[in-house]
Amino acid sequence: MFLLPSRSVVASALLSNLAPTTNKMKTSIKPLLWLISGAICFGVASCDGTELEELLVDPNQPNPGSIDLEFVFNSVQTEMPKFLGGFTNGPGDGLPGGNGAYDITNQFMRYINMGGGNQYNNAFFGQSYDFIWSQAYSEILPDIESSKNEARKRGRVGLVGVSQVYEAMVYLTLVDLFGEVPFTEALQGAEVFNPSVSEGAVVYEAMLNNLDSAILNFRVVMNTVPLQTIPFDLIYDGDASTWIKAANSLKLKALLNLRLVDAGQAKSGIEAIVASGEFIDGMSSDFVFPYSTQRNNTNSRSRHYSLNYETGAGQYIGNQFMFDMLTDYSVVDPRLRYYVYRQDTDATDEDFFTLECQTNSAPGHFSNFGDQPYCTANPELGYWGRDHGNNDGIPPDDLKRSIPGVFPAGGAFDDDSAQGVGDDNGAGGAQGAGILPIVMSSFVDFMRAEAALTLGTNGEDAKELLLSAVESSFTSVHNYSASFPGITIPDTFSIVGGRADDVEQYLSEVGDAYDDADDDGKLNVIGQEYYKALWLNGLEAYNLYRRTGKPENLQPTREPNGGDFPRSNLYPTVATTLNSNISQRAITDQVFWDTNPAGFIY
Amino acid sequence: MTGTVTDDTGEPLIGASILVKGTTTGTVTDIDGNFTLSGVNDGAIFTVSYTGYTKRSVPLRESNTVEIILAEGATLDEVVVTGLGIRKEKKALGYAVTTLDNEELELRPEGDVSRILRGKVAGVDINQTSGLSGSGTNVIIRGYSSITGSNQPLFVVDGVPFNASTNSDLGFDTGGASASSRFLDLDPNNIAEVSVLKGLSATVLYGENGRNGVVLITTKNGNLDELQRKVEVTIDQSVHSNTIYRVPQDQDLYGNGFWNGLPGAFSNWGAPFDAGVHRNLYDRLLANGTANLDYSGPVTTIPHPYSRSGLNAEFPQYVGENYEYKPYDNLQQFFENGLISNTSVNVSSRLNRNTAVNVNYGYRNSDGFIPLDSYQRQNFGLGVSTQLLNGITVQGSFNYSEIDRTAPPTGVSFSSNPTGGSLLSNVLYTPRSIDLYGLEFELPSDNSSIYYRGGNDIQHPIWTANNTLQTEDVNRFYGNFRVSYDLTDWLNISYRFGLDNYSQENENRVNRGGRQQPDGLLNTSNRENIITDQLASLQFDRYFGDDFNLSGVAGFNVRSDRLERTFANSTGQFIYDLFTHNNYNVFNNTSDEFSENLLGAFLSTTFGYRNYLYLNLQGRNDWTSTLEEANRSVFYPSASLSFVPTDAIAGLQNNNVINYAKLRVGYGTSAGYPSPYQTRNTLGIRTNAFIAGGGSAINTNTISNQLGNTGLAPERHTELEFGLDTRLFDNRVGIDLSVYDKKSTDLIFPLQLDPSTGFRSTTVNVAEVTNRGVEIGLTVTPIRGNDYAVSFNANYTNNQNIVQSLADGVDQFIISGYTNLGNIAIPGEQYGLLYGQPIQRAPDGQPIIGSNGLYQAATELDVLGNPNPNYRLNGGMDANWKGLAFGILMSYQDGGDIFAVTPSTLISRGILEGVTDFDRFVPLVVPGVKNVGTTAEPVYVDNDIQVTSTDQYWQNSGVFIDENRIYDATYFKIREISLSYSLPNSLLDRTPFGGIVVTASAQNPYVKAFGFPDAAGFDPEVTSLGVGNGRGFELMNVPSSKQIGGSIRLTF
Repeated sequence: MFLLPSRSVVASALLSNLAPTTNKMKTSIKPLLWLISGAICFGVASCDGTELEELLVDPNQPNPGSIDLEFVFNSVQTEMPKFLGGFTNGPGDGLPGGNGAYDITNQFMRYINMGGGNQYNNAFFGQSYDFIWSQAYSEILPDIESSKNEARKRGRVGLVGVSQVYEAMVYLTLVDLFGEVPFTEALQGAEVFNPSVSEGAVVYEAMLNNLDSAILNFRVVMNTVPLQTIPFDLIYDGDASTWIKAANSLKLKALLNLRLVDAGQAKSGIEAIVASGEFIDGMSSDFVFPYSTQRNNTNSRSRHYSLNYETGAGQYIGNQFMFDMLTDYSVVDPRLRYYVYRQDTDATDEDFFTLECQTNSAPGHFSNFGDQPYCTANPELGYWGRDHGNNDGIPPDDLKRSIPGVFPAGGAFDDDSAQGVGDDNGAGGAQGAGILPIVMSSFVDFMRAEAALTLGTNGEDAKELLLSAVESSFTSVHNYSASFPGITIPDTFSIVGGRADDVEQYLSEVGDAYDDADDDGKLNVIGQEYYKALWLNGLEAYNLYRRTGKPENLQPTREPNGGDFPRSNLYPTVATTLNSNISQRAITDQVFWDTNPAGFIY
Repeated sequence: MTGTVTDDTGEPLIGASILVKGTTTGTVTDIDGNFTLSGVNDGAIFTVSYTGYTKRSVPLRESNTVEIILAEGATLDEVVVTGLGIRKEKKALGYAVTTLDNEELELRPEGDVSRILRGKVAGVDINQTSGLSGSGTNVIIRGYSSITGSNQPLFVVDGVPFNASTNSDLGFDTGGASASSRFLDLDPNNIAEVSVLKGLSATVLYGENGRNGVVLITTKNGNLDELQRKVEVTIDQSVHSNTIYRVPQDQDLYGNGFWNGLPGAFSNWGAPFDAGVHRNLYDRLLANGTANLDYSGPVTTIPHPYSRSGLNAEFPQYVGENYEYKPYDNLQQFFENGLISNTSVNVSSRLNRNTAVNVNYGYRNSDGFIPLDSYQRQNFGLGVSTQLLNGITVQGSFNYSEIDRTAPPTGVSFSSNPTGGSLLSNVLYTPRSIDLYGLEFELPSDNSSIYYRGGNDIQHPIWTANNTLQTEDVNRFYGNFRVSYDLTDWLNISYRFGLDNYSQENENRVNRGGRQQPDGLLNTSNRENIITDQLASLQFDRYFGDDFNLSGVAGFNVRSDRLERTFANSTGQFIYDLFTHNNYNVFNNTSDEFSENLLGAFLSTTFGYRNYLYLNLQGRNDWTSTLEEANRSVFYPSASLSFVPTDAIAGLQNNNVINYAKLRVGYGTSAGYPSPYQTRNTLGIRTNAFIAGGGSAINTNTISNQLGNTGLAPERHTELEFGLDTRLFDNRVGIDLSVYDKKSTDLIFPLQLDPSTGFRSTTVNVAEVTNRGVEIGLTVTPIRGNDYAVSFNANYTNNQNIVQSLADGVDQFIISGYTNLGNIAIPGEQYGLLYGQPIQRAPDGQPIIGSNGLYQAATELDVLGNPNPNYRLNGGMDANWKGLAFGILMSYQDGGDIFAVTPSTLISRGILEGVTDFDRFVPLVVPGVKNVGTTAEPVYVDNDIQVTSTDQYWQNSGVFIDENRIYDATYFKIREISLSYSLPNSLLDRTPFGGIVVTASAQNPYVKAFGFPDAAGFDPEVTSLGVGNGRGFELMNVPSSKQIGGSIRLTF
């Protein structure tokens, strides 16, 4: 029941020592008592409870010296998707969670409703970015440093390269979000408690060099005889040549952002990459992070799945995105059934409580922004999300509204079954084993198309690249979805099967729209199609929007005065309140590569 | 030496206690009032005491026979327990000590010693965490000193440190706030005396652990010296009802719904019940042209909530059925009448002159006023003291407690589904037209929860009551063993070994099929906590001539704390209603251990001059295992001076205005050590950090986010205290005044770092906090006679708790709560201000109304209020006449803000009577201004946008904007009221009983919270952030209780 510690033995020993002495004269007892009092504090080796130095060592954690290359590299690989795609605990897990870089930008870009506020300046606070910042600087980057060091010690140059690619991903993303971020003074521990920020251009340049250095490291691996692979790699299973494609594609993405500030560098850089042919060009080289069906300990599923397929929908899809998919061309976008699952295929029979806005008319200012949906994307078909910046309370619609579907969330394919799958406790659809779309082959084609149109790179044919990008998006959406566990795409809905007509029709209309437009219109067609292909990768859509102002006619906030669109993001509260060298920025501040005029997007 | 003890009429006093001061050597008088003491040398003083008579201290002189006459009456030269349990005359103390004897503690319905202290000790702030049986209690003495460390006082039981942790597996938000505090393991009926040492000059001997004050508890098993009678048996039995302080009152006009429309909502803003009233109002709305709701006709029935497509197979009986639309009395049915019963038996005996024994047993059973709430405690205790023939005194006390507690889940709620499950959250605002007790709570097919909402997104409260349970089982042994020996008559040496060991098992179980934890869970934990405390000391007390006295103690102390914890968390229940870990799909186990050793050497000396001037000098040096060698050792001295002018100045004696006065000044210092393992870096490890497709587990190493600080040093506290004790007007008025100024510097502060340093936190010595305050105790006895007396008492506390500085570059720090809603520390401001989301305001302070006609949340978080009261005043009256005694204790808190979810939710959800039963069909205009300019150049004009009453009360309420949940926490309450009757001896003569006392009492019978609507029945004396440094938050925790009942005490 209760354990007496070893110390109690000391006491009982004292008792038994005392017993035989009790009959002696008191003078003989004095020395014994003195001895006892002396012994308990000073000196006697057997005296328990007096150790001091030994107890400085935490018995619950290993010593820093025992770090292991595989395990620290694993930390980099598994924390990265949280940084980009956010993290939500599974039932019973108790880990820090929060919004990743894509989650917040998904809301700016109307993929997911911005429900935290009705204006850009009250939808997100500094705290909203704490998770992203902490993931980057205290979870991933220190482990990247350790990983590079340990890998160098062991001659694992491939792992050095992969760590460099990850490092570039982190820093490029931070600059895209925050403009200027700690870099040269970062990660110094007690040496620099208040790191100053570095110019975005400096960080970009360093990361482009980092990617070049990574590519050299990969070439070393490839040139080693016998042929080596990179160990422990979750993305490309250790194939160095594919890592070169990934590194080049990240460079392509960074160079395209640079085109407004340094068209020359962008053009020559992109031309070199295209000429090398070493860029992501198919499913086998797509830079995507594969989630699994693991529900807890540790939740390893797509975040959109975790948020929408456990106890009812937790997100609203932006009405305008679904509306675009439905109405841009004469055929419904073939990806829509993969992107969105309708829990209810008819929203016209809702009462004013579950769908209050249905009894109202659209706010007057919507008419200034082209053809806009209001309240739902299409009530007759049940495409039902929210208008941009709708922060109303949540009515009981969590088993009715539309939720992210099979791609890329690993949810359910919309086969008109209209089930309330949102509360299936993680049993619905592909059980969350989706992907995080970081850089896919279609993205590369879209970026090449934009570069061809705006920079004239290599004399490439922008239209051809655009159509191949769209087609490649269709194909990969289908192929990935079909490969997810438990997913069977009925032939009647298959892009590559029974509905091939739609695909051809769609592509031909995109081609026509491109042909019919002037240069700015052509850019809009590319932007609009890239936007649709980027579903739930809000970061690249956000970059696209700031770089090109495309796609046009996104939905304005429901509030007529939605405030200025965030051209960059607030610094996290953990930085502004804990670092005396970082003070809060305005969301109208533009990142270094964004030279477009103030207020040119909304 | 021999002597006699008589009263002033010459009658011998039988069983009077004779104790050689500063020792346990003593005896009692025999039937003739005679006593004999041997081995006592010249120069020693001894104390003679007898119940009901003034205690006397008499120095031993040449003569070998003494005649001592004790005067009847109140004890003037009060003897109190001070540091290390040493009894001292109160007038010799240069610091404040408040002592409560057993009568102020026993036979109370509360089973928690600290809650019984509420209102009785100036300077001590005690808040309960909830009204659940056995829930924890926050005890703060003289304000908060540390920003992030513990500010709870040290509990010492019979001389041994007593672990008073509040252990929970859950965060405050998921129900951990109401976990029990381990001082609950003490049976108040077994306490002989409690002394509260408030200032640092009083606590210095306890080492750094005493920096937040010390609550010294002497149990009856550790208080044997004064036992006089051969055998005394005391049996106490009390029974009290335990009910919610008050059930919130609900309005009966409107039912479930929104915008005066039909049900479906969570809220109670639906159609009116009275069709006639409704018709009228609706017609009027139509006439005004403001009716835009598709609604017509009176309402008496609505479709049955379970007549919905997904449920037709489960509940065929309801298909197409209707359901009466009327108010159902849910709350009144939900809150039960609990019962508290306490039994305790105490047997004490002085076997012979040298040996005394005390044995006791206590049993407490408490049932709460909500389902699943129960608490049982058994206490066994034994105390033995004997003096061996060779002069060695051996004393031991041994106590065992066993606690079984059950509780419902009590996660916090913000007007909606709770965090992590709560029995209470969705009950309090059950819409009036929902028949909570009439609707099935589970699906017949799989026992999963079902309730009225279409999305089934609320867990049925009855399902919660039937499918969840939290338990806490504690077994605890604590005791001590002491040998002492008089080297000379003025010098005593002793060694004491103390042990406090408990194991606590917690379990949290939830069946699958709920809405908060749909898969079910089983979380269990086990904690084993051991404190061993060894003390070797030399006590001396010697007169030099007639005028000078030197007394004190020197010694060594070795304290060792060890805590081992194991946790097993399982989710994904397989077979319904079976709670074993192997019945779950996923197990997750963790364990850790913490060890800490402390060595101390101390010296305390008091120089007394002619019994009216006392100088006390103390010092202690500690060495800790939690700091690196260079910073391990810390010395902290203290000094105090006490002067009794009424004894010193002849002119002041024998007057009837000033009977007694003492002036005192004390300066004390203390230190604080960090918890273990903060000086060195470690490596983070995680297994199953990610499970890849195919099931392969990815394990990781990671650079720890915690940066070790090898230079970490102890924090320092200093305090200056002045005091005045006086008794006036024939001892009818007593005043006890203390003024203190406490400064805490180099506070150990978990400095959060910008993660861009690569780390998230480190531990540094930076912050500074001050507490300055006044404590006044006052007693007035206007009426006093042979067998009657009426006295009044009051105590006043005013503490200013200021955060002076934080770390460089840190302009604010969240102490407790959430990062965006909690208590905050800001340099120059009071400790723990309430921080959250305010309303957006124009430059002139008016709220800015958005285009929807409602408030908008401000973009930056800000201070919303100050939870610290201006002052606290407690007062009471005691009156007795012959055997009748009446007592009342009242408390008043002036000011202080509270963020209160329960009352604000009752309003936001449209439930509360008197506030939400107005004519809801009249549109409202929210007071404020609207911007008719641009964002950049705003132009504000008075708002004229009409909104529905639903929007005003729901959207515009604290549910969406924190600021609207801030209330003034000023309250008045009657804390205790009791009436007791002691049967006169004439009636008892022919019975075996020596005494029979019957008492009727009530606890918390009346509360007036001035800032709240009366119908809410809200008691602001709660803290939903749990035991710790948070205050001023009520997050829909279990409300406080009211206890009424009686007790009987038999002695024979």
